[in-house]
Amino acid sequence: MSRYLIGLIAVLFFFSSGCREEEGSVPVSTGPGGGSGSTSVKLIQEEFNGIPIVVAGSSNRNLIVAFSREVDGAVREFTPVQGQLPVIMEDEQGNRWNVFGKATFGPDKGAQLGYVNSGVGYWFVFGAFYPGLDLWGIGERSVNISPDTSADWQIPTAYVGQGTGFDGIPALDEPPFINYSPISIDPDHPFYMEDEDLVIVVSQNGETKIYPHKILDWHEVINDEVGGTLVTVTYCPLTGTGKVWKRSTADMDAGFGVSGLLYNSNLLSFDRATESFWHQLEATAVFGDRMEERLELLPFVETSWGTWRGLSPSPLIMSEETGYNRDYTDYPYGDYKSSALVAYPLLYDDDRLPKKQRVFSVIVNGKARVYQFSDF
Amino acid sequence: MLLLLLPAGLAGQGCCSGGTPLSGSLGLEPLTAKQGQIESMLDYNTQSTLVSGKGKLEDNPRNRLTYAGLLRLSYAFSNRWSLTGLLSWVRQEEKIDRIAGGTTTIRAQGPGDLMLLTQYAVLQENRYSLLAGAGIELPTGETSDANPDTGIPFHPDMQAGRGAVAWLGSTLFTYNGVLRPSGNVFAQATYRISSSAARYERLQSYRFGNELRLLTGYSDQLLIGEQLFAPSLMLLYRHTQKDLLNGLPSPNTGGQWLHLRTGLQWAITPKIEIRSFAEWPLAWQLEGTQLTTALRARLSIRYQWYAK
Repeated sequence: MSRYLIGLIAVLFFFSSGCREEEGSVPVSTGPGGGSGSTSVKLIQEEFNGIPIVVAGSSNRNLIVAFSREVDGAVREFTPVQGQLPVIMEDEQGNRWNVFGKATFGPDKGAQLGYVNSGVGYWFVFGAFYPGLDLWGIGERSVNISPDTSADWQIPTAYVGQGTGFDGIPALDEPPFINYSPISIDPDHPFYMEDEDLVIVVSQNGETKIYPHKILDWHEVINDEVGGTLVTVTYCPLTGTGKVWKRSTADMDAGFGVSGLLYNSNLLSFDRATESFWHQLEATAVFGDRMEERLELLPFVETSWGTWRGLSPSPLIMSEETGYNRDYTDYPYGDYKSSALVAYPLLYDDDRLPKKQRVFSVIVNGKARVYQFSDF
Repeated sequence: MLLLLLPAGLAGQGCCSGGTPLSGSLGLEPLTAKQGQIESMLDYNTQSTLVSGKGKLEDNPRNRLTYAGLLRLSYAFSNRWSLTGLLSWVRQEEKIDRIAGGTTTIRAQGPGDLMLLTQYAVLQENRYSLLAGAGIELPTGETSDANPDTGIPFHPDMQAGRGAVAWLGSTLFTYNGVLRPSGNVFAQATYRISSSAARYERLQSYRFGNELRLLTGYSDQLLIGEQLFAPSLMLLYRHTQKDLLNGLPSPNTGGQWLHLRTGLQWAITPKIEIRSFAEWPLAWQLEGTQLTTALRARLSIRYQWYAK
């Protein structure tokens, strides 16, 4: 009898939580996003470089995000929400927040947490850009480096290498998307994405678009519009880092391209209006007419396709018909992901972790803190 | 190599698989005692085919053009021993079709590396001969040419010189009187062993992959009017190992190529000869994604003399 009672309570709890009035730019979980336990969300709430932040992650979901905890001048405290992806946490006022930092339920519904410059990448690149950075749980390393810069460049050119030239790797402009549905896939032409493939998910004004690494490996820069916002999705396959930039000013309409230059092995993009070079991680121009200008970074989620496709009945994902003759199931850099190889010289080679270990970084005012997936 | 493909192996999807045409320019040639030769060559190589493994990728925006001027000087000290030196000037251009329209071209140029080769005639019979040679490539070439707009040095595979010593071993077998009294078949094998070069203010070591070239073909002589012509048809097999970057294999480098080469020589006088060949790829199996040769051609003039 007690077994049936427990079952009834569980069913009532399920419906009561599922019927909450929640809305957001992404749909509520309808599939494999609904578990807990090994896929549970863990929060780290702390202050970094003067900013109160919350870092939320689930290692088995391949998902970590970070936001400022400051809302209207007050610092919020959060608790994790399990089994409700894309909702990941709740604050003390009863607001529920999703992976994009948006309140989907509660008195502040519709509010947006401040995005903290953050994202996943290979360990070596954060060590190179932010020598001696703070490795969460271990601390900083004392490093004294003062690289030479010049009047023309904001960065030390000794660590800039030239691969190809402008557009040698073709960026994409407003590529086609499809609404993925498993039943619409032709068995003779399997969908190009596997569940473990990584994706960058961008959500703006109620529209959510998915940009697979598989395509970004070949194009690195995608100029697009999401929910009416002009965005440039950047991904550097040599450092494993993604960033989403907002193109707000009129002369940014033309978008960005791949310059063929790499700094610390990391992508330098160029804007098509002035051909200034832009630092991917900081979204700032480091050479050219726009030097020292900075773009707004937009929140995004990087996770596996298997995680995200379970959150929506028909997620909007890039079509592999990009207009270019590329086999997107073929990774263009051989064994680079697993090799210790780094393509270009590094300002600092931090050996505390393996070079290609994927880690999550938070960058605040020129300082970085890195979290490992095992921390979540 | 960027690269290419990228690369630049890691310059982003696609290194270039051509490089300066030195090792293919030091052909062994039968020489008799006190015979000297000087040959001035113009070499053209266009790498406009983007390849992934065995497949060809269309809509490639890049074309790498290499123009090289080479000067070969050979002298035979005896019927068996001779010495050859090769100087070069290399200009490389990468033309990229821009997404917004138009083309951007980046250019690198400078003196290439110096090559020296000693040659020994192992066998010298009426109908056949066997030559063997050993050489060295000295890093005298330009390795730090930079983009004038940015001041950033070009990728190693855009530089005229390789920046490292390399060793060369080569052997040539010829057999005369095939099909016709003036016809001959030949086969040449060349192996090039590279050493490491320091790049980026010695922050990185880069070693080009060792290279094997097998060239075989048939040539004949034809008298047309009073002019002597020597057409030839050849197959070239080339295999390169992956380049090593800080001792680790670099993606998008290395592979195998099979090329068809047609040649024509014209003996204007007994001492002066015009020589040419053109080469097209027949098949390839490359590592990763690389920009590779679509056409290579050479035109040269050779003068020979006999010292008293």
